[in-house]
Amino acid sequence: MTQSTIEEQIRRVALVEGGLSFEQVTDLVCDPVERKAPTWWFIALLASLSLLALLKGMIGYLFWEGVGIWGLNNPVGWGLAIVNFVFWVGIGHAGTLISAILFLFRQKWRTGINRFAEAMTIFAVMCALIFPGIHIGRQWVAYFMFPLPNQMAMWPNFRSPLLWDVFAVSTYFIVSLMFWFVGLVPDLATIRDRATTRTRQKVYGIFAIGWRGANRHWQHYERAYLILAAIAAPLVLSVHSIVSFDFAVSQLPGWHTTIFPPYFVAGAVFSGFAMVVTLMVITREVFGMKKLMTMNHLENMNKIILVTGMLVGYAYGMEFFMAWYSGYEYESFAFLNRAQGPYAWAYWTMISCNVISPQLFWFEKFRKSIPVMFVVSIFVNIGMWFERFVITVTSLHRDFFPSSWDYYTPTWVDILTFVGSFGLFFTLFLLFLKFLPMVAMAEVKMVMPEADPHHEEHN
Amino acid sequence: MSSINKNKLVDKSYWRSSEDVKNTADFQSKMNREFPEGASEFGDPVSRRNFLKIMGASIAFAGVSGCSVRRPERHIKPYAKQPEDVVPGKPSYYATAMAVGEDVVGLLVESHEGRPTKIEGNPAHIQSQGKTGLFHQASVLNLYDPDRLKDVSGPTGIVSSDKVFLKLKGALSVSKGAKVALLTETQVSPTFHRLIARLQSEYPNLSVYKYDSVNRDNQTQGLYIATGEWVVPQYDFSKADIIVSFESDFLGPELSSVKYSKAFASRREPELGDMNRLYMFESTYSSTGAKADHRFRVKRSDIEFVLWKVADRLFSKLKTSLPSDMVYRLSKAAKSFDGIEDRVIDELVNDLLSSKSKALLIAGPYQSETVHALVFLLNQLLGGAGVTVDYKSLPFSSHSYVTEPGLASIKALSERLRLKSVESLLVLGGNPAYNAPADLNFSSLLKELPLSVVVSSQENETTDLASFVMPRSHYLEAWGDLMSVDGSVSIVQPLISPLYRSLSDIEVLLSISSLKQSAYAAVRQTYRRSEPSFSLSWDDWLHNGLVRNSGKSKVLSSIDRGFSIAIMTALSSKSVSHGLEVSFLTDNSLYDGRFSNNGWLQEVSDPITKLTWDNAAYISPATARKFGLKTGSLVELSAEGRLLSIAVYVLPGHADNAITIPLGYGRKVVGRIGDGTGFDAGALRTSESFNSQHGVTLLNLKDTYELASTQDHGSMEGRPLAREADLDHYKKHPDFPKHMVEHPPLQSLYDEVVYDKGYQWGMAIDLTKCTGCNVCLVACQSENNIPIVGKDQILNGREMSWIRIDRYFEGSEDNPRIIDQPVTCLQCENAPCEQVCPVAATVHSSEGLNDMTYNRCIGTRYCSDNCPAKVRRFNFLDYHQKNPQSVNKEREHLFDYMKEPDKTVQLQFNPDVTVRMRGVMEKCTYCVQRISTAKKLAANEDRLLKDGDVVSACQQACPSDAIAFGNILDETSKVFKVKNRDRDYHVLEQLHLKARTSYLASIRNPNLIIEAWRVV
Repeated sequence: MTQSTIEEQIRRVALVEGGLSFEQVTDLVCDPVERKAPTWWFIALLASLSLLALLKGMIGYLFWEGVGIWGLNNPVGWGLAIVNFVFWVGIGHAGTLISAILFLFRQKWRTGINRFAEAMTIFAVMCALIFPGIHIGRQWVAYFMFPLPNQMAMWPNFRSPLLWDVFAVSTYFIVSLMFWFVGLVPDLATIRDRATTRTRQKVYGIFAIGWRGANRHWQHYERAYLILAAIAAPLVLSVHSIVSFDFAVSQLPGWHTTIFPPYFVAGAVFSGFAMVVTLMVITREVFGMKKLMTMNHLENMNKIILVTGMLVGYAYGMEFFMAWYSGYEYESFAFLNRAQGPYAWAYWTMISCNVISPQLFWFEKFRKSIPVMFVVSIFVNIGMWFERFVITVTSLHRDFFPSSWDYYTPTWVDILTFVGSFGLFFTLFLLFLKFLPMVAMAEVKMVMPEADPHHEEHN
Repeated sequence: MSSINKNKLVDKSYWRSSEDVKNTADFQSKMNREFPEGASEFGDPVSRRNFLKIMGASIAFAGVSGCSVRRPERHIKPYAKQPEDVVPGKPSYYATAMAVGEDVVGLLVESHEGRPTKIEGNPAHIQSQGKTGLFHQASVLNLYDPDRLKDVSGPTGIVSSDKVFLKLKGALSVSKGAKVALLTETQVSPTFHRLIARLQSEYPNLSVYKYDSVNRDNQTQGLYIATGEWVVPQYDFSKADIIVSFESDFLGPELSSVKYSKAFASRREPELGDMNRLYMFESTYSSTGAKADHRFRVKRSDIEFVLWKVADRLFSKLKTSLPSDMVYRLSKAAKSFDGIEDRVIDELVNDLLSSKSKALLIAGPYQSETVHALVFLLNQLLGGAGVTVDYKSLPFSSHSYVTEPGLASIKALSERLRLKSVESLLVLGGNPAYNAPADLNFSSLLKELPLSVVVSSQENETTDLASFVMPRSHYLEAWGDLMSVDGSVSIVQPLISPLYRSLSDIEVLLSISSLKQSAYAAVRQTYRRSEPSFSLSWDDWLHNGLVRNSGKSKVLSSIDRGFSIAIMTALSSKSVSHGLEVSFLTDNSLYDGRFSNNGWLQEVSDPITKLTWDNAAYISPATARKFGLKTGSLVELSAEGRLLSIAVYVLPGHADNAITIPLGYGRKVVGRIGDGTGFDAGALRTSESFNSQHGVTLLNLKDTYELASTQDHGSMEGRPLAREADLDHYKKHPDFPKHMVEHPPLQSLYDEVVYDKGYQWGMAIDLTKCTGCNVCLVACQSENNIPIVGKDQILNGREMSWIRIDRYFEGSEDNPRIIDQPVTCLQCENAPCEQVCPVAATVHSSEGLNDMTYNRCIGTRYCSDNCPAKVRRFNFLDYHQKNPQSVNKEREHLFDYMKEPDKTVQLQFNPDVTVRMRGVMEKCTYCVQRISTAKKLAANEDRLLKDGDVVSACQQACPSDAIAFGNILDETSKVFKVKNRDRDYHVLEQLHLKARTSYLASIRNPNLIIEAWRVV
């Protein structure tokens, strides 16, 4: 009896709605790639390219003048650049989590959204990678951070969390990219096979690396995908843990906290899922993908947002508890200063966005309401940006010696650089939407009822 | 090869190696190969392709390297003939001396290949004793200031100096100089005064005037009233047990402050004997006030009443032969003031009486003549003369223009200018158009003058109005001599020939007199008469920097008869003034404005307010509340129809209903550094209100002005950073600072390095002695090529100074105490910065130094974030380029930097210290260049370093000797002994930093009875 109820429930979750056939799925997904790009796409791309140009302009100005054009000062040595870095890396968490961890846990609903989320991950990590490179004082010697053999036998400092960060984020990026590409291969072959022009056939053919859909290919593909998923899964946890070490391993009150690794990972998942929801809500509408990116997907993600939001909220509370419980005056001060000091506005923005706004998702009505989830996901993104701002800036601006306390105000360059990074993100994202299949066709088909040899029996 | 062996061409068997002899198979195969294994073939089977690949890459990279070689084509020129005493890379030191007003300090100047770079004190000179003040440290920058006047100029442009001298001589020749006046600032050169006398003998009707906007005339006149003689007091703070200061900031910008700082500090060591006790009555908060054991805030004009109260009590307790009506009137007048509680005065007088001759009263230069006279009287009464205070005869007092008060002198000159009885004026230094009393309208008088010649090192308000301007030499460029107030005389030797066509005052006087002499000859002549075996002595004097050690003291026992009359006049004329009072103050950094164009001094923060690049109107928190003002509010002050718009700084501990404005700011005609800094207090300063202006009205302009402070937060937030206790507490718990922080046992994550061999450098800073005078800061700046950043960068919190002086207020807002704490790199053995640097740019040396490798630094700023003391300084921008005085650089390639420091400014740079570019982190190195120089020297002499061989720049300059530095393993070293004292502590010890810089807690010595009444 119980068994059948579960089965009943499983059956009710339709991963693809509207009773689409395999061919219809292929048509639906390939359509944006094959059709002439709509006008709005060009307008959006132009806007994104302008922002990208802004980013390049800001970086050019930065290289010419030095980081003094930002609002940094003596106690606040890290400002918006690091905030943006952590923000983008955090966003870049959802994709690999969805594809790798949910894959390993056999969460079949992931197939509708994983391609999309992974693409977002890769672009977000690319945005993130810009910042550690440009935030340093002498960008032209950034390569000192890599362990390159040299005549001085001079190696980087392996004790520095910043170096761990270099490895963690670049590894994460490479593995995510490989994972994404491997998943793309069968779908690229589909587009190649449907190509109507020679150029398309050639270009997609190159990236499809000779995929013929042979049994051996599928065997190798699935093995490779599983292995990469297994490699990527711990990276999901490690990358943001290590990003958190940048703070946790230092000894600054407000940074030096053992809760940081899990707290950062939860926060990253939180913000990553919010970003996926934001983008998906728009994309499924615009490209008519509602049958593949279903309300069910969105609701599942909203549940994860609710859970991770509360994890983050718990972490905020626990930080305060530990600050009090430790009896360490500097630590207590750092946290009271967050809530009551000059940056209280940032702290309370963070709390209202991250802790209060997701509480709406307790209600199914809101979990399934497109406007509500769109607004909440935007709030979460804002809140998570402020979380990084609060951690980075409020801890630094008032540390041990009250004599060196100061206030940090981002300059216009700080802000435009951040805005410009969205230009890079959306440029890449728009190109992705136009030139690559945004849903993993092959994988979706695998979880459709038709893929099950016994599906007739269930019906 | 083997065939040769077979043919046996030679009999002897030569062998190449043991393998050859053994002739192993391995060796055989080696022999048969042309090249060693692996050299002639590729391991890869597709070797042709690989070869092409490698060749292609090599050619491509060869091309790349061809583009990127940045080899400037410049011709270098060696010394064809090595100058005898110039060893490249090895500095020489020359003795010289510098005067600021009357204050002469003997110096040793470091010179690298003929360019002076760093000023240090001359240990043989009484006023220096090896130490210097702020102005001396910074004066080297004035030498290289690119804004200096370079040419003699007249109405038609550049003219020759001869033409100007001809004009002057022409004017002098009219009725023996009756229509010519000479205006100088305070001059203490014997040759100068000799030449003036000579000139006056040539032109008997030539009149000489003297004016300084910052002067000590009231004291000179007061002592003359009291004694009938021209004398100058020299205090011995090392003998004084009780010091009562009536607004004398003797640790600040006052006469002999370098010497006094050292002597005062010598009595602030509780381990070494009785501490002195300092009572301070002042209006604003001064460095001296910050060191006081008891500080009382009293409006400047009311301080005289406090003195009367003290005098009244003393007269009633001591038998005096003073006129009884004076004593009676004094007693009556004293009662009219109730700003200080009688019980406090009683206790103070008890303290004075218990120490008698070891008590010392002093009064500040802005107090009236009668205050100084009365202070003299009380010191005599207590028996301090000859013990705590010594009267020396005032140098050059035979010249009437020296003894005449400057104010009277400039008034007389103005009057003659107005009456047009003077047609030609020669101004030797000074800037009267800027700082003469406002009511004299000196500028307009000067403008109307037919012939005015101004000798000045910089363009200023006076040169702007002059008909001819002559550049004035810096003291490091010209021969001269200086006599300090104690009578010691130094020869000023130049270290560099004049950078521009400038002349010294002596040269100007020589040129207009009939003497055909060089300045060198004139200076020599001044001393030739008095000494046999002159040449030998002369060399000695130059070498030692001292001609004569000290003048004779005067014993003054009698009190002049005019005295009681003067006192009584003051008693009857003075009444408690109500309303707002503006007091003028010598600026801690700019003095009277003569250092306006000195970037180091503009950027050094005021010891109390921590303001840079500006002055402000200091007011008390209560007065600020009354007018609804806060720091940065703009107000308009008006008095007698004169207006001054100025920003307000709310200074805790300032007297109520009073405003203090430092002089020297708000210059209108000044170089690029001083342009647009601060507000000109002179707008309110008239000859009647030279010290303070009464009855000022304040209008809140409801506008704000940005003041750049290096420290925005004055409270220590209850954190034990600067630790302090009263002597009483210290005696009960000598090691109290060590028990102010409880922490669990500390352990490092990594293996801790044991530093127990060789030299291990460490520093201890005594907070009891530190007066927050900033000398260390400027010394460090000058030694370590630290750039200035400008006001906007200070506002952004980006000051670069490697050592900062934290100032914390403690106690009530109305009259808090101040404690200063110099903070520089703590050189932690477990340095948090080192662990987090991703590129290992900051690493630890075997001698315990936390070293910065600028070349390796990529500028992540992570080290700074993790530095608990926040002492690391980041080059956010290229500050040498951003300096307003920087010049365009000749471009060598496309991406070359566009600017560089001016060529003359570059001459100041210490060649032993890297000039840092933008994007790198820097911080205190413990003067590692000095350590390494000393080590090399010792190695050449085949010995180990001894204590004192290495002296850091801050330690060298500190007038209070608050800094001890050396090898902490050397048990004979001062730093070892100091660090073993009970009150030695480490800041933030809970972080397990194992810092090499430790602090000695500040100990105050208050009178416990008065202390109990203190409102906290």
